[in-house]
Amino acid sequence: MKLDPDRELVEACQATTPTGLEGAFRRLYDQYKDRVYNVCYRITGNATDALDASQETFGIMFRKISEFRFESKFSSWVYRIGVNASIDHKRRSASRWLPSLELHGDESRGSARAELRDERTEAPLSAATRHELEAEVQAAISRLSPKLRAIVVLRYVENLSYEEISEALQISLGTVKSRLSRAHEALDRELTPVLDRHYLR
Amino acid sequence: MSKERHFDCESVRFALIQRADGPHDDAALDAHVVGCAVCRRELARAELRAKLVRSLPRAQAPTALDGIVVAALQAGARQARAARAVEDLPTLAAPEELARRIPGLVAPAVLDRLVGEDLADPSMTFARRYAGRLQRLRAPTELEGRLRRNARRTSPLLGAGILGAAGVLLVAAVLLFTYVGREDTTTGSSGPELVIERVESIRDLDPAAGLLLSGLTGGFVDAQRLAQEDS
Amino acid sequence: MIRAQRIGGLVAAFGLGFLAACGGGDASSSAGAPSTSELGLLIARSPAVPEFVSAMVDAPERVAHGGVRRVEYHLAVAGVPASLVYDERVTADGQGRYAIEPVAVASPAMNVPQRELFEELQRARQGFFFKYRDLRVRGLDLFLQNYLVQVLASAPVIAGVECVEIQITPRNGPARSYQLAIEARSGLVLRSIERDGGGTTIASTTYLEFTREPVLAGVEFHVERFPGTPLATAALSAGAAPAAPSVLPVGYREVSSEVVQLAGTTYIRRVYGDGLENVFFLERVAATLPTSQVTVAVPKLTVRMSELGPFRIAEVVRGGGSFFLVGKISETDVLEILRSAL
Repeated sequence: MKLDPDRELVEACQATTPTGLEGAFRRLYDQYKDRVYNVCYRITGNATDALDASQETFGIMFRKISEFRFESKFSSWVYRIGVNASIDHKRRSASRWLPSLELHGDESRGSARAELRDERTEAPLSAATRHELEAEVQAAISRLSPKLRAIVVLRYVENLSYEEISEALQISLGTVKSRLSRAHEALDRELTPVLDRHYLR
Repeated sequence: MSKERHFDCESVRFALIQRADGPHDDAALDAHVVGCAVCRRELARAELRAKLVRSLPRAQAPTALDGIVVAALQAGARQARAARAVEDLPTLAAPEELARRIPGLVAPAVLDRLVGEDLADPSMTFARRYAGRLQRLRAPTELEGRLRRNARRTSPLLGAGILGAAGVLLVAAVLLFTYVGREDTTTGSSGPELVIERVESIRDLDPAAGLLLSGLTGGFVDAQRLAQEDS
Repeated sequence: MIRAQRIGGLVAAFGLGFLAACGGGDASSSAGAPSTSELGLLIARSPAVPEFVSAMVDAPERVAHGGVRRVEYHLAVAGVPASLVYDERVTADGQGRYAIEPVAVASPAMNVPQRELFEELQRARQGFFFKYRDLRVRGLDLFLQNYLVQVLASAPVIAGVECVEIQITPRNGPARSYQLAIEARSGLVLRSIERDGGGTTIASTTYLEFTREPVLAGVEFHVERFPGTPLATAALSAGAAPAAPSVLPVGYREVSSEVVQLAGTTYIRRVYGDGLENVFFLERVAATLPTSQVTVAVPKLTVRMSELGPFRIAEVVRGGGSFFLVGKISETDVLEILRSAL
């Protein structure tokens, strides 16, 4: 059986209870934070929701890490949590009344290193074609149903293998294939006008 | 030679998608694609779609996420403590063990006193120590009297150890004692004579009844009780 | 007030185990025997009974579904109106597994620790919610015997789903009514509104989002932590003579009788149902039994009576044990039941 590259780090985390972001937890977090954020961003479609979903993903990950038994790859497990958190977040956002956390120093949210645009807050610009295309592709992805969105993001943004996707989404390989086919179909519909604009047929 | 695989067939479509994803060991498909304009076009489109999504810039987690995750860990730790307290309690034998499991939650000495049916400290001091957060009680002397009375009433519970303490605690936790004793009597044709005592505040109920009621009302009783905690 | 979180934590385990045990009871079928009353048979066989009414029976267990629903309770506490409004996510796999997860609380306002504790309590109660709080029809014959069903002309769309709507009124007991919006094909209730005799809304549950294809991956389905033992097979300590009501409110039948053990305390929990609602009779068995016969005739017993909305709550302490009765029944019924049991 292939050795899980995260095994040592995960076992180190399982040996202690987290009191803060330090030690093995800090290292694990650093390893996964971009991956998690990336998935959450591409599935939720905007930076604010991505932040919330990422926070929830890590919260669940750290809370449940002691129960992880390496029956699947650790990364698949993390991706699963991230996908679910992102999808759930979109469903919840309409009915959210209370913040889930009292944050210290909220002002840095959405700023700093992220080069990504928050679709909702940024004013439309006559940006470079590349940025415009990126936004349109993201918009197309956002219009997919949650299941199809998840598979597109995992396959083409995170480059997971079909087996890893199967593990992460807890679906059979056959379902991975059929869903990917449907995702392509749906993307085809969504992207055709985009392609028409940017590429010659 | 390969059978004529129609474009509409699911397997061909997916085979093309796989082909678009990267090198794929399907010589038959490749041979077909060379000769079939429809499949060639579909393959090109699939490749383009994949390329478009792949070319999305990789997001970097903003520094803000660090602080948020730290807060989540702390909140999670709090929640985990609450959850553990909730799960483990029935199996804990002794109040001291409880105090060990949930540091800061209870003062074992106070708990021992309760279990021993000794409400020697029914005043604000007791309430403050137990709660850990200072709250204004309305009528301390009245409270003292009622605590004594209610402790006697709930004494059958105390044999159950921690549950007894919880029962007394629940009673002691009531902020608004609107316990009114009005006496009615009613007798039926058979069975014991029943004397009705009206209880105005549902929080004066026995924990078993109160929690059953909470279950039936979707947590209404607990929500009201929790929300009325003054800051 | 003493910090509720700490108190709640202590009381919760007791109550949660208790409630969780209630959730584990066998309530999937109501009084086993089919109705023998002519009226019941007539109603059940009448072609006028729509198919979806039959489909309602145990639909939440049989049909996979999921979504987010808004739950509201509006009840007067000591004369003062109060509300509970919150959202919860439901997932059911159609094979009897389910999860009800609190999402957000709108009212009353709570700070973070309060809300966290509340959510933990709700999570531990989900078994009870699924079995007894959520409106369900159990036993078509029994239900139709006790309730009048009228199909309404409205065809509301709830969470994007077209529904039929019915009004249910009890034939017996205190006046109240239920308005249910049902997805006809599955029999799932997408919206339920309970009103008191005066027409004021007491409680409602409405799906905000709904699907017949819920995401099951990653869902933590409810696991019964404190299963009860059927009373008939349980071995009670010698000398214990469980009290059993011999008088029930009109239309109610025994659903289950179980023994539950919680931290060394024994409870006997009896559930009675009328096809829609349930009445609970609880006995907390005395911790120490006297060596002589327990049932010494007691001339006078005090019944502590309380009300919350449509619910009547009664407590009696006798000997070393306590008895509780909770249900949507009249005070007279409460007293009759207690008298027949004690």
